[in-house]
Amino acid sequence: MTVPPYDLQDVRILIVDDEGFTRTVIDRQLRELGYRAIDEAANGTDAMMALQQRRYHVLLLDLDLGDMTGAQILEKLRDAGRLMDLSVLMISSNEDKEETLRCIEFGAEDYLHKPVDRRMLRARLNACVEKTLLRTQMQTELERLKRELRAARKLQDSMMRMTLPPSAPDFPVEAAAHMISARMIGGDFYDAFAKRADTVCFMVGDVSGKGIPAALFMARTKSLVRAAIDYCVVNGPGEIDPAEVLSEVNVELCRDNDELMFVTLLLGVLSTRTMTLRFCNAGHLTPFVLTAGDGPTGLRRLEGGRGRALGVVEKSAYAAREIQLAPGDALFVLSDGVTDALDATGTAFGETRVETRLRALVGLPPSGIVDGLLADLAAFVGDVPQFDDITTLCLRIAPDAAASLEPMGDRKA
Amino acid sequence: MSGLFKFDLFAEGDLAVLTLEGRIDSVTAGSFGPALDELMAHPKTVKVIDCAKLDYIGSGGLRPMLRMAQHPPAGTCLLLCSVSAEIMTLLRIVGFLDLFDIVADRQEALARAHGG
Repeated sequence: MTVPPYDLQDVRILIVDDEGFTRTVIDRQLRELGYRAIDEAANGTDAMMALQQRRYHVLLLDLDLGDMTGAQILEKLRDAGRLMDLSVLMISSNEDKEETLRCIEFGAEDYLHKPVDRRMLRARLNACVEKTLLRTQMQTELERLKRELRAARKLQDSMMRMTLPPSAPDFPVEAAAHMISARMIGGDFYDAFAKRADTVCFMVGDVSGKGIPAALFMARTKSLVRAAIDYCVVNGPGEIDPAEVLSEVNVELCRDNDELMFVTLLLGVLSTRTMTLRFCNAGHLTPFVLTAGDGPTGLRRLEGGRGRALGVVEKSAYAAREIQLAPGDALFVLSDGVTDALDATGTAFGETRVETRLRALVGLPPSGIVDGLLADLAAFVGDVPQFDDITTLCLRIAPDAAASLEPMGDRKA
Repeated sequence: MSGLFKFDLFAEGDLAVLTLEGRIDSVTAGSFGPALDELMAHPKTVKVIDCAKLDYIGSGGLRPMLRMAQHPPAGTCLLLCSVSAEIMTLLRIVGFLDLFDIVADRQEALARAHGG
């Protein structure tokens, strides 16, 4: 970072000294050096008032002002956070060494001896102004970055929105999902949307790494999956094949990926008409199925349909698996931010705790399952900072779906 | 809390050995990359990453390791050894098991260096 060019006339200086003679001498010296925006204050009260009314770049401050000491003013400025964009030069005599040092400890940049030498004044002022400008520039830059991150966060939040119609007799699917980023923006994502009136597509993904690169890769992956599904729908009369979709996406993600960023992704395609689920799991954690219908209730893993995480090897093979679901069955997909979350002793939440908790949540609607698990996770973790993004998604076939499905079966697909 | 990550790099016979200890997560992954670079820059051509004391590695840590395994400098060979059951499971889940050359321990790595 380099000091931006500046005009001496724009540098605003406040001279605070109780001796009128000293103020006049310094003022004259400053004008000879080219400075023009110069104000004066004869005591602490006036100085504080001036500092409140105007933004100064440099404060030339006497050690003893009668009503206040220079150190007291510095302390007030420091406590109010004003020393970020204001440099303070102490004006002292040789005998005040201790007090001068105290002021430097409080945050003064440097000091000048009385009588003030003009060359010394120029050198110290130059250094002060440059430091102040650099600090201001850094602050501005940091603010800009923060603003951009907040905008990116907003954009990412808007991408985490499921666009499923509400559950209805001819669309008996309920859904809930939640993503908690470890940083301002993250690499986890989820999506769920309807296709062809009787098909629900859903995914949960986790990009390697964190922050902006992961977020960009995540946005790219999500768009590619959506585009590949659209392509299937337009060009193929048959069912959407999640393995075919992920094969296409993988090839695309492998292109120009020298950094070998990768993404684990679970893609599911659920027919609301036949209640069959086709899924392909590219390196993602094995999801769960919560069974709560007429038959035996319980929990099982959604094994199989496995392939490599996307973005690494172009020639990776992906195969989908198909299973039959029943009314009341819920699918629970999570990212490893859930299982890897640590408590204060360094113990991970782990898959066993996820299973135990899910067993207790069998029969609840998706929002109850997602909220229940996340509440349990939050209690486990306590105030330990989160280091990985946490994502959960739950889809359920409405428990009363069976009756409503009969007439659907007669319709033409 | 994100536990500590420590590493050590040394030559052992004909091997360059990088031992990993603790956790490589998004917080500590920053110091893992440079450790790997040091290993790859080591004059010994057979390079071993000893995972005996590695408790956890997240995807952010797998990525640089994968990059080294996929694009090793010419004439070098990268091996992983003493990989715990948990980390083997992780590698199996993400589908990376066949992308790394994994041996049981440093003895086996040494045998490999001698043309085994």
